[in-house]
Amino acid sequence: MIYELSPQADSTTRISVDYRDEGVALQGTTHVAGDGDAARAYVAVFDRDLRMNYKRLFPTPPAPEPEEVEM
Amino acid sequence: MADIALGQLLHTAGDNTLSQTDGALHGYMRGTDGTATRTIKTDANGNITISPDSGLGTEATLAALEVLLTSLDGKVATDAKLEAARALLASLDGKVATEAKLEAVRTLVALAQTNTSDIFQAVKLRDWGKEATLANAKNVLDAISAAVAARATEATLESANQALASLDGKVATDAKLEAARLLLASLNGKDFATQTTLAAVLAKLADPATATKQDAAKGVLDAISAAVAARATEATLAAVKTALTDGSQKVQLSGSKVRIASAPATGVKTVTGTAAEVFAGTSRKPGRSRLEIANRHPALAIRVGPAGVTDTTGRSVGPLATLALDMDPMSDVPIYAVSEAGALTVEVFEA
Repeated sequence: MIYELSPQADSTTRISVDYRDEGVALQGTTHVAGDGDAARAYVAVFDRDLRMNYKRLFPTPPAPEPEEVEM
Repeated sequence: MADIALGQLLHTAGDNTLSQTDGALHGYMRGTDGTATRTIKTDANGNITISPDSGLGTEATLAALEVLLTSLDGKVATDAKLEAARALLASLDGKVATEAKLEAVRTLVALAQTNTSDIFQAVKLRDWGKEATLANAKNVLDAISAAVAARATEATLESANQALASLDGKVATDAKLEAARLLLASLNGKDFATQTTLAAVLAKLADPATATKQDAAKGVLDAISAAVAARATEATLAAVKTALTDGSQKVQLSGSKVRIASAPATGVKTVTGTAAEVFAGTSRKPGRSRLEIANRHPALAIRVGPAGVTDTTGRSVGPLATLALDMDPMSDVPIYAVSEAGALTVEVFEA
């Protein structure tokens, strides 16, 4: 995930995220109150919500093979 | 040089000093011409004799030469005089009549003296005047020549004549000049503007509004004129007033009622202590007319409001409560939410 922070004139910061680096065609944008530090702290929350809401777009890691148990 | 046999000379002198060998010295001096040695001859007195064949003059020859040189004493020019004479002759180069010319002149003079014709007699008897007289005459002629050269040409005189003719009738009379003088005297001492002031006035007069400015002003005036011409008349305004007040005016409303016109978006949102936008998808849904926020936490509340919302301000949405907001689809208004304590998840519905 790649993100970019852009301070706004109304004392908010715009957060733009992009998942192209993960092979997922998904971009998101939100605004948080405060400066870049507050926005940077919120990036992880925004990322988690997007992954939750659009989990169908993200490949599911293969389930581990069950170990064979010798009888 | 004579080759002297010094050994034989000393032998002959014997025990005598060399000065006492007078005569014997000459008698034993020898010389050579390069081929053979010969004894130098002396006369009876012991003087060395020199043969005339050696190239020297005899006494008689030398005496004649002395007489000749003495006769030339004081008669030979110095180098300076000779140079002066050469320069004088050089200056005469080309100026001296040739023998042929001199002969021709001589013949002509002789002819005049012997010829009795009137012409030759007149020439011979003519008083040609003295040099002084001729010089005076020359001076007079030179003065006349200079005066003639300095006088105005015909063209100049004609131009002057025309100029004077053009002034005919234009020259003021004494009376007019006196009147003008009196007028000028009356102006003396008056407080006229200086050249600087006049120049400033001239500059102002020379810089009126430009054509561009005038065109711009004309455009404004034309717009005002058009607006005035297009405005409703008093009668029209009165009719409109009547129609609005008596209920006869029909009104057509435009726009639409707020309804869900597109597929809604749903999602979950984590609300933290940082006020963040609330929406269901990846960003605020464009043209949304409905926003619902359902707090599913059983104990914590959130606050909803503008960007400046805090955990103590804004609209409170308590545990398990839902906030529904009707939005203006034409206005893209962001809605922020902040948790009163900790982080909690809410369900969002946008349509």
